[in-house]
Parts: sequence; C-alpha cells; structure tokens
Amino acid sequence: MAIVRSVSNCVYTNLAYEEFLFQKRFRATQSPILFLWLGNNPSVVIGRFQNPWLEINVPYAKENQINIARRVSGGGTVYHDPGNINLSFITSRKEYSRKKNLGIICDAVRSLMPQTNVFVNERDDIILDDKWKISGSAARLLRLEALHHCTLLVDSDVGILNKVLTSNSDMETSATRSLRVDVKTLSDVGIKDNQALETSLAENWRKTYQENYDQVEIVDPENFEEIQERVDELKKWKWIFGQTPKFTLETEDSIVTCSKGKILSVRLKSGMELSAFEGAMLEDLHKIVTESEVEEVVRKQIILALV
Amino acid sequence: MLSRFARLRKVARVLSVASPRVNQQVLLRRSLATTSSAPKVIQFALSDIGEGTKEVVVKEWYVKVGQVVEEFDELVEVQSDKANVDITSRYAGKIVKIHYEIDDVAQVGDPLVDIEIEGDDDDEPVDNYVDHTESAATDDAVVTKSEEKSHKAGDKVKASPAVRKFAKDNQVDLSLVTPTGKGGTITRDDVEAFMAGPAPVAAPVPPAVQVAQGSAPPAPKPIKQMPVRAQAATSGGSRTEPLGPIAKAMQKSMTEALKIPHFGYNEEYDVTNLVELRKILKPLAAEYGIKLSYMPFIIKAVSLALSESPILNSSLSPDGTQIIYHEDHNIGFATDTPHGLLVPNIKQVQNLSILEVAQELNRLHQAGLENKLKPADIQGGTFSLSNIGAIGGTYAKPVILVPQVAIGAIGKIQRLPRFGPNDEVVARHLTYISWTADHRIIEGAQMARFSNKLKQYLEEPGSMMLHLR
Repeated sequence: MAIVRSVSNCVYTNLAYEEFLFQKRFRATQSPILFLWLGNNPSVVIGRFQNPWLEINVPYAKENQINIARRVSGGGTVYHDPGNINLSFITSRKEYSRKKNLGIICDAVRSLMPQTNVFVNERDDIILDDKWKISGSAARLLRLEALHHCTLLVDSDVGILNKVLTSNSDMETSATRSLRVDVKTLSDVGIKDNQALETSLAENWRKTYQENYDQVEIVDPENFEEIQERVDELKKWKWIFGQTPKFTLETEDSIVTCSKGKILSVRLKSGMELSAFEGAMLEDLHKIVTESEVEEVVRKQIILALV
Repeated sequence: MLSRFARLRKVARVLSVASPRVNQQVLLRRSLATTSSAPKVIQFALSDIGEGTKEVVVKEWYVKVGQVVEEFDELVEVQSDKANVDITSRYAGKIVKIHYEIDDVAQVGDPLVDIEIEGDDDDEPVDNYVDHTESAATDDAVVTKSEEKSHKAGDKVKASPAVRKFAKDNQVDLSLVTPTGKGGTITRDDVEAFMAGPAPVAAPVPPAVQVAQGSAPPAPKPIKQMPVRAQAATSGGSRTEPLGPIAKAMQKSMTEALKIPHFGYNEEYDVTNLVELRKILKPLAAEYGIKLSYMPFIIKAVSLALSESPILNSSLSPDGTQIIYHEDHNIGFATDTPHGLLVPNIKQVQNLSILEVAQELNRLHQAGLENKLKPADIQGGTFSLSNIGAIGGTYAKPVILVPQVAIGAIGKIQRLPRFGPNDEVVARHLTYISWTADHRIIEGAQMARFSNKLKQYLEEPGSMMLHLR
C-alpha cells in the first residue's frame, strides 16, 4: 500500500498524475494507493460526460481566473480551491467499496473532533449536521481496477463556489447534470486545519489495512516527465469543452445543436436550416452561449455560407 | 473544388475518425486449435456492477456490430449515479447486435450485446473480475505476460515491442489502432492518436466577404399603372416520383455520410447582350416605378431553365425515398436585413413577367430593409440565388438551403477582353455563376444541361421571347 501526496496546486497536473497512479502504477504494483491532493488553485472540475456550459458560469470563471477542467471519471461537477482536500482511493475492482471509503473519511473527521455529526447517507454522500453535503464523489470502475475520488470541503469559499457553479436552463442536453445541493464546510464546525485532517485521513486509511506503514510519499508531479503530455491534453479546449456530448441550445432566433465540439445544425426560427454550419467547429462559435451575440455570430456565418 | 470521390473519401474518414475504437481495416479472428461447431449467438447481459445499482445510462460504446472481440475487451462505458463503469466482454466472438444507444437506460440483467461465438470450449464465460494473466508482483513479469497475450491476439497486428509495451501500459488494444507506419505497422504516434480520441474534422470555412448592399429603393411614385393580369394559371402543386434504383443506391450511400454532399459547378456567362438590353429597358420599367437590375432577368431565365430541368427545383422527401418535384418556381435571393442576411423568395416565377419579378424583388428587398418580411416570404423557397456581384468577388461556393437541392452565387459583371470571330479583341461583359447542388439527387450532366440552357437565355436574351405567353 502507498500513501502519495502531491505538492502541486495545478488541477490539470494533479488530474494527470491521478490517472497515472490509477492506470500505470497501480496496475504494475497491484498495491492500493491513497492519493492526497490538497490546495488546488481555484478550479471547477466537471465529469467526463458533462456539459461545461450547463454546469459552470463560464464567463465568471474566466474573469476570476478559475480553472475549468474535465476529468475522466463520470459524475458531477466539483469546486476546488485551497480550502478543500481531494482524495483518490485506488484499489483493485474487487476491493472497491464506496461506503468503506466514505466511512474512512467520516472516521478521520471524528478523530479530530469526536462530536462532529457527520455520516454517510443513503445516496452515499457525506452529510454534516444532517443536511449539508461536505463532499463530492466520483468513481471509475474498470475490469480490474477502481478509482474513487472525493472532495472534502474544509475551508472553501462557498460564496465563489455558488457563483461559479450555475445551471443554464436554456439547454437541452444528454450530458450528465449535476445535482445541486446545499453545501457547508468543515470549518463551519470548527475543523480548519487541513494538515491535521490530511494526517487523520492517511492514518484511518492505513488502519483498514492493518499494516504498519507510516510513510507518506511527497511527490511533485509538475516535474514528472511522463505525465506532461497528458497534462497538456487536459488543458486543451478540445478536451475540456470539445468533449461535450450532444446538446441543443435555443436562442431568440435559432436552435443550435452541437456535439463533441462540432455544430450539428443551426435552424433559424424563420424557417431556414443552414447546412453550412454542419461540421463547423464549435470552438469558433462557443460564444453563442457565453456571450449573447447569437445574432451577430449567426449572421456572419450565414454570410459566409451564402456568399 | 473536390471531386466527388475525394469528397466521399473525406466523408468516410470523418466516419472512421468519429469512432476511434473501430479499426475498419483490421479484423481479428482468433484461430482455435480445436475444430469448431456451428457458431452460436449468446446474449451477453449486463451483469451486476455492485452497489445495489439496478440501472445505468449507456455513455459510450467501444465496439460496433461486426467487430470481433476477445475476452476482457472493453465493450461499453455505463454510468450509474455512483460510478462510471467499463463493461468488458466475457466471451470471445463477433458482436452481432447492440441493444442500446448512447444515453439509453439499461437494466442490470438485460441483454447488452449479442455475441456470436465459435466452438464448444467457448461456452463457459470467464470470470470477468479475475486476472487471468497470472498476477505479478513486478513490472517485468507483468510486461512479459501481457506481451505474450498481445502476441497471441495480435498476430495480424504489426507493431514493434516498444510500441506494444506502450500500448499495454495505456490499456490500448492494438487491434483497434489505425496503423500509419510502413507496411501497416502501428507506430507510437498511432497509439497516442488513438488515445487522444476523435479529432474533429474542420469544416472548410469560406473566406469572409462583405455583405451585399442591395439596390436602392424604387423610384418615388409610378406614373403608369401595371397592367392588371388575368387570373394566374393554377399551380402550386407537386408531383412525386420514386427514386430509380441507381439514384436510390447513390442516395443511400451518400446520406450515410450524414451530410448533404455538395458538388460545385462554375460557369462563365457572356452577358454583353443582356447589358445592352437592360440599358434599353431600364427607363421603360422606371415608368412603372420599378427599378430594373440584372436580377429579374437572371431570375426569370433561371425559371425558364428550370422548366426544362425540373429536377433542380425539387426536394428529397423526409424519408429519403422520393424526389418531390415542385411545380412552382419560388426563387429566393439573398438580401441584407437588420436581422442578417435572409433569403426571401419570389413565388411562382414561372407565372410572372420579368417586370413582375422586378416588382416583387423590390418589394421583398425593401421589406427586408425595414424588417417587415413575413414568414410566408421566407418559407417555401425551391431554388436560391445569391448575388455577390454587387460587392465584388468572382467565384464563390454557396451552400444549399435545405430542403432545396441547388443554389447559385452570381459574381460581379466585369468588362473583359475576349477574342471575336476574326481574332480581333473585343470587350465583353462577363459574369460567373458558381452553382452548388445536392449530389444525392443532381448529377453533373443535369447541372450542365441546366446551366447551358440558362447560358443561352442570358447570352441571347431574345431567346426568352420564345417562351412568352
């Protein structure tokens, strides 16, 4: 078993490193890994099949230098900042147990503050004081391996979290939608020390393996050659926005259907369908959603199409 | 301008890139040492994925019908509310049916895919979650075992040991990677490209051109009244005709491309005579308060040519099996409006005189400028023209307005030198029209015939008189 902790604050680097641990290191060693990554720069991470425009207030994120990333596991959107802890439980598929992992987190919290009212509910969410969600969780299960990562809100800026995670209801999409729940942080109940919590988590995890293992590997993935290419890929528009599954956006003048970075069709409400758009890169027109310049953009494209 | 075959190839590439896990060139057959009995089809059900999950959403298919899979190959990624799970195959064989589409909800226990398997010894499915390559404690051992396995499976797949290891390390099935190396070898780049996922194909973007400024509003008030026309000849119907076998096959294969295959046709028209004619007719039209540009002549000439090539004034039925011939020539023209470039159409041009066409053209253009176009003005078009001549530019590639089958972009009329009958240099007025047509229905020859007819009417406007009623 291994406990690995990243010192990087870059969400893309940490995501890439997590993939490495999951798909390469674990496969080779068959030894369970707890990966801790704390204190990312403010970021929003969407699930594999989600629609960033639907989940995130993209202009707000860009204005406030909040990174947007897409991970390879499914599930919903989570907010990272220096006030939250991310943990990844990497085990064999047979060993995977979401309940067990979340239980470890609860135990770790209670180790720090025994009276804390924190438990795992029937949706397998960690709930504080009976109603506040303090953790998001997503799992990716392959034939022989399992990756379960969780976020834990310790001292995150909930104000920003609420502002950047937003729902765009003009969109009809087959993408996974996040379920919005009220969140609180552990600091609200007196637990503010990230370091202490991290140690407690590591300790409680180790305990379940009944091994005498007290080493934590501190790694700096930013200097890790092997993952650099993947880091670059994760930063690209093509992966973050371009992977969005099919969705339809209705505006005043038109109905636009897009999928995987490409426009499938644009139908003007005046009755014309413009086949010129088919295949056009959404990259050029993603402003459709974030800025209300639909007419201008659509107009220009019509000109380009007809002239 | 791409030839038709280049276009089809390009489209085929889009298809294969869109599903990167399918290598349509390499099919694997696992050869069995024992003699096999008749193939049988097994329904592989969605097994229990744990956590009490009863149903999942299908998110991504890694295989398609006809593909041969090995045990443990990934079939599909599904999502429950708790996890994303890769479902792998417990059988080796050929996928013959897929029971769900992306975003469908699948129930645990219901059939996921049907697999055709060979031989008796394949009847027992393997335990999916046990690692059948002997679990190894060290990197090296794992590498060797997997290399053995991939050698067995990948006899037909060419790749160097380094590339094989790289693929194994990244859980890439080499049989699904498109090789670009010499002799069909898979290079490391190929594996990386496969891992990167589908590459979007950039659509060709035509160069930006300034918006056409339409002709000025008509003269203040008419002095002469237009002659009241007798009841318009009845029209407005359509007749349908099923696609012939060749057209049907062509249409079927092309529609599979999920895109209307456009083909382009450009032609030069010598409109010297038309220019002269217009000079004479312009003041006469002005007496009716109608501004006469070239468009009414072109529109009417197009209508006459359409009468002889009706297939260019048609549409494909929604189910793609019939050609609907429209009797009315509702010819649209691109015009600038505050809402952008719109294409209102002139109804029943076949029944209108050139003057009436001009009148209607002006009305629609003016309505467009004042934002007063009605839906009826925009809908119902059967053929379209775009006049880029006013802004400049000679060649263009217009795009068809579905469900029409053709569109023409008219270039600027230029005065250019040409050779006369005695090799003397003469000044001619020339314009170019770029046509685009729906290749599912229109063939090159039909387009050429139409264009030649139009050419005759434009180059010799007097010939239009033959069709005066």
